[in-house]
Amino acid sequence: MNDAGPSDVSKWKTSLNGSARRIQKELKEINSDPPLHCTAGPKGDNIYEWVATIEGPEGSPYESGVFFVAISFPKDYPFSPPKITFRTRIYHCNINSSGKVCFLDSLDSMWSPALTVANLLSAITGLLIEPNPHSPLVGSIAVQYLIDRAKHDETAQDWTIRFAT
Amino acid sequence: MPRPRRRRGILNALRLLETGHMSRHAFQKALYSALVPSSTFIKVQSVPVVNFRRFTPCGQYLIAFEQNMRDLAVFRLEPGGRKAPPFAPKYSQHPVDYEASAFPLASHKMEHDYSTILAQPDIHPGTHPPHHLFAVRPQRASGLLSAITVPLAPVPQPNRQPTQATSTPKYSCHFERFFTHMYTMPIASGGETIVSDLSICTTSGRYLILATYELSQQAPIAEQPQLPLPAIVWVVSMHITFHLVEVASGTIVDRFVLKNDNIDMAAHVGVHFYADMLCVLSTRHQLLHIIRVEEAMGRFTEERCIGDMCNREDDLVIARAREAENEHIARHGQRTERGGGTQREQDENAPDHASQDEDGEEADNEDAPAVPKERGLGNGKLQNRFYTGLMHRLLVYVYRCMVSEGNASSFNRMMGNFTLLIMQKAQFLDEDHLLIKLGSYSNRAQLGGMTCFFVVYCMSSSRILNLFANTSEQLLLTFQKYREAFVADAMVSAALPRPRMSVAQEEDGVVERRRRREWNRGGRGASWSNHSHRQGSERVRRTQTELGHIPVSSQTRHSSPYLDRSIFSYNGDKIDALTGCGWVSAKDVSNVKFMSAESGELRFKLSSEVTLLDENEFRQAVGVDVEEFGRRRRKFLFHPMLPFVMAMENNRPVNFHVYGHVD
Repeated sequence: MNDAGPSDVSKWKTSLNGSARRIQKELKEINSDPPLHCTAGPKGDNIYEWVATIEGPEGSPYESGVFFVAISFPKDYPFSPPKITFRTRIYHCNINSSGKVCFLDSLDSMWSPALTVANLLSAITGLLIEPNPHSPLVGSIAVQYLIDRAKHDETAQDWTIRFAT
Repeated sequence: MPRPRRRRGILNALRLLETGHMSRHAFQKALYSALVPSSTFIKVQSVPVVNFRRFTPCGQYLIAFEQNMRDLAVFRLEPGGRKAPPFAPKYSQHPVDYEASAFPLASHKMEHDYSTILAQPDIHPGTHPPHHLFAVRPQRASGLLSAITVPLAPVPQPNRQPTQATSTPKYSCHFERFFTHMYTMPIASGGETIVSDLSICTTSGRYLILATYELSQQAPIAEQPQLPLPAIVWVVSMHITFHLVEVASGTIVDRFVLKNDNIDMAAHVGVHFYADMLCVLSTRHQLLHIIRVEEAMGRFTEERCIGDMCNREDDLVIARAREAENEHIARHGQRTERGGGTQREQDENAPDHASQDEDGEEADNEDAPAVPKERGLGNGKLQNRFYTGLMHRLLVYVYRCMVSEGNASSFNRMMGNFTLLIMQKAQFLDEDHLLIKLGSYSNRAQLGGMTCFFVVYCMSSSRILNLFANTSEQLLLTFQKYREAFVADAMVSAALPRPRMSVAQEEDGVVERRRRREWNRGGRGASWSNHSHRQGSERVRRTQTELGHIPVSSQTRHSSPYLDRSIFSYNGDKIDALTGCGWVSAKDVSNVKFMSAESGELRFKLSSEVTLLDENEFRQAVGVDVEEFGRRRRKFLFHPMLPFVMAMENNRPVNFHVYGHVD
């Protein structure tokens, strides 16, 4: 920071305020019109650290489960995408054993400042309803999903009861 | 003026019991009201220099630890005393000849072999021997009455001169008169030390659970990647071993070891025993080990471990999925291209020590997920970011509560506080339910008035059934109303003071009286709102204080029918010293009177006025120059069924209070 000139500092401040304003705006929107089965908001006083809850969609093997998701906003948000990590174990071909979500790996390249957290949460909920086995993060689960759907759903339901209730 | 109720004689009570006009409980009350430890052997001689801990539930053995805190010493109680020592015991320094002429009453009664009665198998089993005593053959009460072993003692009479061969003081006796040293066996090995606070007997009294500890010489965490990362880094690491000892044979039949762990054993904070289940709270790793003591097999069996996981096979399910994925990767290649990303399956149970700094916070790493700041309930121990099983259940319970209240949006703000909670204490409510106390992670010392929570957890369904703050008056009312369920030991519960009027009732009464006074004066108090505020805070403080008693560690207390408040009334302030779970200054328990609960008649008293050792005797007995002579502490060991009480002073029995006359 010592090397940063006055112009860099003002730019950083502008960016920080801009990201905070954007996050505040998204918070208002998400509180007034939350995505289906989801809630989201800052975990404490830090507006850049959010937590979201996703209730397992009805009719899916994740029904009755509550999944916690950590959302970390970068300082240059919305020009960089937020980091989203599952904090609940889930048996899903697009979510691995570290909590990473598959489609978010390509988020850096396809991210647009027009996207919002609500969009991402809706996309995750869509993945819970309809996994994408053709772009898996956990190959074995994707194969099982394609070959033996009943067994996959049974296992996913068992994991939901074990780890998400 | 009502006439005081007369105490019922034993024969009368026996007749009523046999004719079916008296309940067993009433008979028990009559019996124990009549047979009381009213006589005292003062300044007991030849007492071994050991730390006496407790009687076994069957009453047959007295457990003690040697001064080196490495060996276990067990003494067998000779219920009726003995005429002369049958052999030269290890601890005997002054052989005594108990002449019949000295104690004519005792010698006469010595014809009964009380020890054989105690050894009857149908008396031993069961949690509460006195109850079982009456439950065996209730229709033959006379036979049962004879089974009540009565240790005999002289009635102190000033004119009687004992004709002992030694210099045993008047009205005194030797330790070997009532106890036979059975064996001394080493429990601790290497650098281990016995945990002095822990000596739990199983329900039948057949086994004794002891613990030893040894501080672990641990290298820095980064140098030991094979060890699990602790959930709490600021507690001392030690190796703890639980030993299952068969009392009669003096053999260690099983051990249960916890390496690099920390368990708060003081006053059984981290240990609770119920029926045949032992709950051990690992403070360092935030785990609850549920261990079954299988008496038939003589072994410990870990039933489940609650914390990281909640169900029995959670580990297996995760391992199975990981193995399937590893096989898939081996079959289809290590790297799977996916939209430009690289699959990186990590061993989620492997701790990431390399990126762990001294404060337990993980260095920022782009690839490896950062250890979360929520370190409660074992979070952050693992490399992945998943909440531990118990933490997840807690958060889900809170979330569902808030959703049902229509307040889901505020859950996110409060969530951070809940993720900092750690387990501080736990107890069984029954075989399937636990009461767990949760406190703040940063709360290193237990501070009074801190907000904490109580969780009711069902082990079979692995669900949290309820959550209370320590300001909950609902929980307080439940605790006061169903205290027996919390204490989980009828005999101990019968000894504890009656619950006070609930805080709410008491405060309401105060407020009502105040309002009435104000009304009578014709005006309202000017500072009524301030007064109400003070009343409210006082109410919260008192609720917190009352709830500070749960979870209850009832095993630390010894039980006896003579402490049953339905039979005797006594000063409740001294309950800790009387139940043997705490020391009280000798001057504070100089004279404890036990009155009949029915008639109010003084039945016996535990007096220490004539028993206090002088400084020289104290030094001689303890064997060291004790500077704290002036701060002598006292407690009592009540026999679980007989009228026999050992008054202890600084771990050394000084008086034997025994039954000494026939009613």
